[in-house]
Amino acid sequence: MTCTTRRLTRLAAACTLALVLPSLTLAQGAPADPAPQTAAGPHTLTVTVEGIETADGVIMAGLLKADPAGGRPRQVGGARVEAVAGSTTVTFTGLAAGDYAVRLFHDANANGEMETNAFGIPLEGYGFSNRARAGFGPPSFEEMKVTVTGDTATTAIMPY
Amino acid sequence: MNRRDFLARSSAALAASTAALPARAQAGTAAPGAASVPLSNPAERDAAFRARLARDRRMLGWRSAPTGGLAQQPRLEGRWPRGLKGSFYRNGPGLHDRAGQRYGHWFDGDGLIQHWKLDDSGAARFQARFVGTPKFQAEQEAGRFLYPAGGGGMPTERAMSGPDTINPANTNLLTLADGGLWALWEGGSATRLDPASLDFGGFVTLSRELRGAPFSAHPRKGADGRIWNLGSMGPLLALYRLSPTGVLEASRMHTIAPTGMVHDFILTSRSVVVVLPSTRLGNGDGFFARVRPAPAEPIQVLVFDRETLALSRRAELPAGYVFHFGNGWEEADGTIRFDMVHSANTDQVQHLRAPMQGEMPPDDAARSLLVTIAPSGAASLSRLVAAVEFPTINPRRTTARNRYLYMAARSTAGADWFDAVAKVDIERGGVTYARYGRGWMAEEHLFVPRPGGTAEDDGWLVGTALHLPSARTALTVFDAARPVEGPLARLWLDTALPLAFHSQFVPG
Ligand SMILES: [Fe+2]
Repeated sequence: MTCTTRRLTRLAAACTLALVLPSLTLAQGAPADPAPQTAAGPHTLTVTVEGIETADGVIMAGLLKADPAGGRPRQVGGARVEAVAGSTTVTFTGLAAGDYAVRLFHDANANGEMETNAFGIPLEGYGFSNRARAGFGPPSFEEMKVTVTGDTATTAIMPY
Repeated sequence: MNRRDFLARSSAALAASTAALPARAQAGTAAPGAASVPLSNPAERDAAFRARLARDRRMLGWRSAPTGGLAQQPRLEGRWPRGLKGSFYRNGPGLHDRAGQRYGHWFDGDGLIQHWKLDDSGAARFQARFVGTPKFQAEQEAGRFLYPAGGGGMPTERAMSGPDTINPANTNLLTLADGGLWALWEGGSATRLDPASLDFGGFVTLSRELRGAPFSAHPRKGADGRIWNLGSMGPLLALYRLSPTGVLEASRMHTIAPTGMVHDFILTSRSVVVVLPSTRLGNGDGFFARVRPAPAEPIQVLVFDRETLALSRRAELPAGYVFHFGNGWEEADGTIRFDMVHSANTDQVQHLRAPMQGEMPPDDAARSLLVTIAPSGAASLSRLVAAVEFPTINPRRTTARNRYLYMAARSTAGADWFDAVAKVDIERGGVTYARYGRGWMAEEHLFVPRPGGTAEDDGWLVGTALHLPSARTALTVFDAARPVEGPLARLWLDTALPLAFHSQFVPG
């Protein structure tokens, strides 16, 4: 087979049906700034991850925070837990109050990357906070959004 | 019944039922080349379609088939030709609506496979079944549509993990040397079917790196039985070469202008020829709305070496839209010739939304052109015939120079659908028609070679058509050597099937 796809895969990420989750690979970020416990935080966000196909590998999660100035949401943290067939939880602690979103994928072979096919289509299960669903592209921040004002829970469903 | 009786009876039936046909004045909703604004709401589309169906039988062509499928013993009219036996398969979108929600594009509905088992005696059997894709099964269980679709406006009740989540397997079929049968879409994987029961056998994974990758609906076979195909998504084009039994032998990725759809291609004895239409991906609700006309862009022709799958030549053709090609061949000096159905309208993809809201698609004046690409890349065109689609040839001539080309055709002025099969003599010029007459909506017809025959046109033209006066679908056989003599035989169903796209024939 004469496939030369590594570079092209990046291109596919920008197009048509590609359900690509940019920068989900850096799931090992530090928690957000620790702060004294007040109404503004720190709080805990617990994500229940449902529909995990197998116990192979790990669940990688990236935490996004809305930019109060209206810019693009930024990745502010990451987490990694052992995969469990069925359901497990991922927890982010020390969060300031605000609007967040979580993107997850099942890194079944634990190589730290969400694998895609030659067209950039994910080959591993993935999901989003607030039970958000991918259609012809990933859900919007608004669809994934979780408003954290105290300790907060949300659910993500992982289709494969 | 002899042939004369058959013809007399058919015309009597037509005369008696002409009153049931819609008047053209009443029927025409849009001027040729124009289309009304697509409805974005699935319930409004459904209401508009049903209102139209109540007074216009042409809409039977886009009415959903029963989800449980059909099994019938077709009734023979005429005399069945000796030697014509085998499996005639068809595929096309057969389920356009569920629970009052209707899709926004003809290309969205779940694939309905027709299997006409033809016997020497004329005692045929007919079965139609929906491909039991994961999408079809989930929606069948739910009793409603759950997933987004290319035509837009559908809710995302369940997540997509990739194109195969919504793969309807609804466009064509591929027959393999080991008896295997695949149903084809173009946005995702091919689908294995049981050739007898039509049971779903899972998606085809060509390789790990190509799992879930687009595999187009028009693979082509070389004289040695090997299979070539492409898959495209946005700026990416994959070329595939498979063994005669469907095992991947080679693939290669290329970048292309993001036209949105690359539906068909041409295979010669040395090359794979990919033709990119004058469209560009833009924004819109659903995939098809994003395929925007780009009439200022020429059609691009990319020629690849069929063994290495590397780009070897480029050419340009006048702007337009192209779905289909009949055949192509390559001469000793590297000159490539092929036929293509070309429309100067670059918004054909948008026009095929119309039947989803109860309108006839506007006539895009598609014509068949013979294209010549010189070794230098210089291109020239000559016109073969107007008002056609679905070109086919004698399969024994594929990748070799063909003299005859057969296409569904609008043979009479003002026809709003195909009413004939055109036989074009590429070498000498001239067109003859196998005519259906008024009240028919004809579909793709295949050339089936007569066993033992050697002349290029020694065989039959076999295809389906919707008979409006009786609201029934029939399979008709014409003598390809003498199409003007009209039908040899016809197999009648007792119901109308939705219009489909493509067919494959397996002798035996
Ligand atoms: Fe097609």
